[in-house]
Amino acid sequence: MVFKGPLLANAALDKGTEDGVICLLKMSDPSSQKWFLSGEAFKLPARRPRLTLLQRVHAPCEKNDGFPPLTGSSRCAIIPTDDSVIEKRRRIVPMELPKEKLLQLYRNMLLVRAMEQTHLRLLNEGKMTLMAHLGTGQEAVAIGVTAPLKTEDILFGTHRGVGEFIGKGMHPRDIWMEYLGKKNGPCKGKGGLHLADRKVSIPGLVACLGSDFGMAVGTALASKRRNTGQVTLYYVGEGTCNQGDANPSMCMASLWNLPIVFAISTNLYCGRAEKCTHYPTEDVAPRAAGYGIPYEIVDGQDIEVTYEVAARAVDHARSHEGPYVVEYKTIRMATHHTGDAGKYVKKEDLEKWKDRDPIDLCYQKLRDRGILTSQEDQKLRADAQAEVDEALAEAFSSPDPTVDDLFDDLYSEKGVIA
Amino acid sequence: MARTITVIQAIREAMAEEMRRDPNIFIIGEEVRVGVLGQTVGLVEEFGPERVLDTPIAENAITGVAMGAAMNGLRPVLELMYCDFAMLAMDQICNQLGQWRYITGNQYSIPMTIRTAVGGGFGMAYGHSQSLEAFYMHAPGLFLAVPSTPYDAKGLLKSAIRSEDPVVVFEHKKILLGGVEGEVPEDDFTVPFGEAVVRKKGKDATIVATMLMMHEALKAAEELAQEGIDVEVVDPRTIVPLDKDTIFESVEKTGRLIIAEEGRMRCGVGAEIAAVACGDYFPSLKAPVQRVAAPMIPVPGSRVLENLYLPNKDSIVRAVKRTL
Repeated sequence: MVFKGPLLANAALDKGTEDGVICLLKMSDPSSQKWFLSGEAFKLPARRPRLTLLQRVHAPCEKNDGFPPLTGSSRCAIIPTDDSVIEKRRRIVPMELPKEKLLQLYRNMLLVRAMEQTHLRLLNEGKMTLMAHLGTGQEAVAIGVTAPLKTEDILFGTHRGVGEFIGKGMHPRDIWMEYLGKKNGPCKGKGGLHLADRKVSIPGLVACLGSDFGMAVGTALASKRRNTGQVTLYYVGEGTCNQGDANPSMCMASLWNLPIVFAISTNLYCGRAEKCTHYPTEDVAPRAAGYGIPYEIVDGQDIEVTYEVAARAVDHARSHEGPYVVEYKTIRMATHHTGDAGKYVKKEDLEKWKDRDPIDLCYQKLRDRGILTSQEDQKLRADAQAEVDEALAEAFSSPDPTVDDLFDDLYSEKGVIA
Repeated sequence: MARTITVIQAIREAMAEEMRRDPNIFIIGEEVRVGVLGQTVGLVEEFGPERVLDTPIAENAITGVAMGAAMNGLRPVLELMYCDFAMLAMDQICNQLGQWRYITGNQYSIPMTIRTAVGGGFGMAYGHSQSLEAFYMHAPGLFLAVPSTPYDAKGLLKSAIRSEDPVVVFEHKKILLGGVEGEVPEDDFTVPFGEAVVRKKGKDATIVATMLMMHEALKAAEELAQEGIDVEVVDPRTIVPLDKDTIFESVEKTGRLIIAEEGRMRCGVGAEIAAVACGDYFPSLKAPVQRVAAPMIPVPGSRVLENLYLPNKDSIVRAVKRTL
């Protein structure tokens, strides 16, 4: 079904009313860009019609390879849930972020890139032993998806990179302290790559991928029960979404209408394997429909997209509308972890995504909008590296734990082991 | 005032009284509104379905849910119906739950209680009848309670719910459903962890026995008494922490140690206690330590075979005699 121009909104909403479908509707005609959210455009019945819905409306792509710039087309396709046709790629045209906000997100992405490149350098120089799962290429997802969160909102992150931890407000020094196993780290050097930082509501990072699916549902359950207004962000790679707990966790999140956002970064690799060896389908997020959870599948390279969709998802969760799933299409411009030669990585994939580096894309926006000159950009990059280096120096000079720390913190009573 | 109640009543009272005391305490698990063996029966009427929360059938995920809720201010009492099913949650329990405080450097406590039923004797075969408490002893950071009486069931569960640390409480099905009754005060009380109790005084040998085997040990003691053998029966009540002082004070007196459990023998509770005996109390021993436990086979479905499989009074009597 294809609607045109100004008719689009009304037609879609009529359709929505008839079928009980929620329309997340965005027209690609810049003069009429507007999201018609359920509560705004037409009233939802109180009793969870989302169980039957799921509507994603996006302007069609001109091509199916990657995310080309959108042209002047104002067509939108409306795909009912029961329709087997699923577009391979969906694009949205994001709202332009205010200058300061965009700059802030850009600086955070630079910080993440600098952290990870520094980690890599330290490994190569033999100054650190903890291997790195680099998140190069995914910075716009990690920074965009955490940007709408408040300090008290809870984050469960991934092994891949430090993006979401920086985005959530973790200090680079605290990350280095943990990576170096230092006594003054937030986990007292006991967590290794499994970062936790209560100051910014990061309860921990599990070793077994997906063990925290249930935990995230639990923190959201407690937020709802205690009426704290917190949202839980469960940020996960597509590889982990095949873990068994994904199923009951999404089920319970929907069943109990919990304030949780599941954000999936589909980076085309699952560990040391191509995604196509783990997935029979292009997309992961449509599984959400099975639980009655609304979902969107969007570009993960454009920071304005990642942020806007995350903000919508977080708003949805915070305003008691229940869980939300977002799938970001991104690319891992690195191997699974340092030391992995990456024989399975397809050169043509990386080639295809070469001009989709999220930091370059953001810089182009800033430059094109007259916000940032090349010189100012160099300064920002140098500042990011300086911040990383300063944090690192502080961590290196910080004390190691001692034998007195070995048996502490197992039980609530100090020094007790049983 | 004490009255005589069953273990199921004791467990139910412990949960209800704690839930009245603290609104953050809630029950979560499969079929808890209905109550599988009766422990949670009637609680939903008083506390509502949000605090007696039925979950989908997904042991590992719901254990994660309880953990997450505990990280964020609630105090869950999670029921994992049978310990056989709790094996599906071993990632959460052994990889995450007990270690979370340590690896987060004491930033996050997980004040949660897991209740799970163990034990055979109902012809329910391999996946509904095991006693798997020994598995958990290998995981750091947990407390493990093994009550054998209504008093301990209530007191230990209250301690568990009030603990800032994760606790697994094992409930033996034969004790739950087999008519074990006992005196329990009406006033609030708790049973502290790591305090064993001497159920029967004796001088010739020490039987350390958990849960149903404690009751079998008392029967064995009666039978042995008729032959003039005077055994002491020690009930550890918690296997982590283990009250070595009480156990080995008894062993130093009697010089003979028999450990009885319903779980399997290899790497069982008895193996751990025997290792402590051999390592730290060897000079007190007058005879080799004897273990009474189930053999290394699945729990058979046939009642005939199951009766042969399960340790009981007779196997304890035989073990005691081997030490004399």
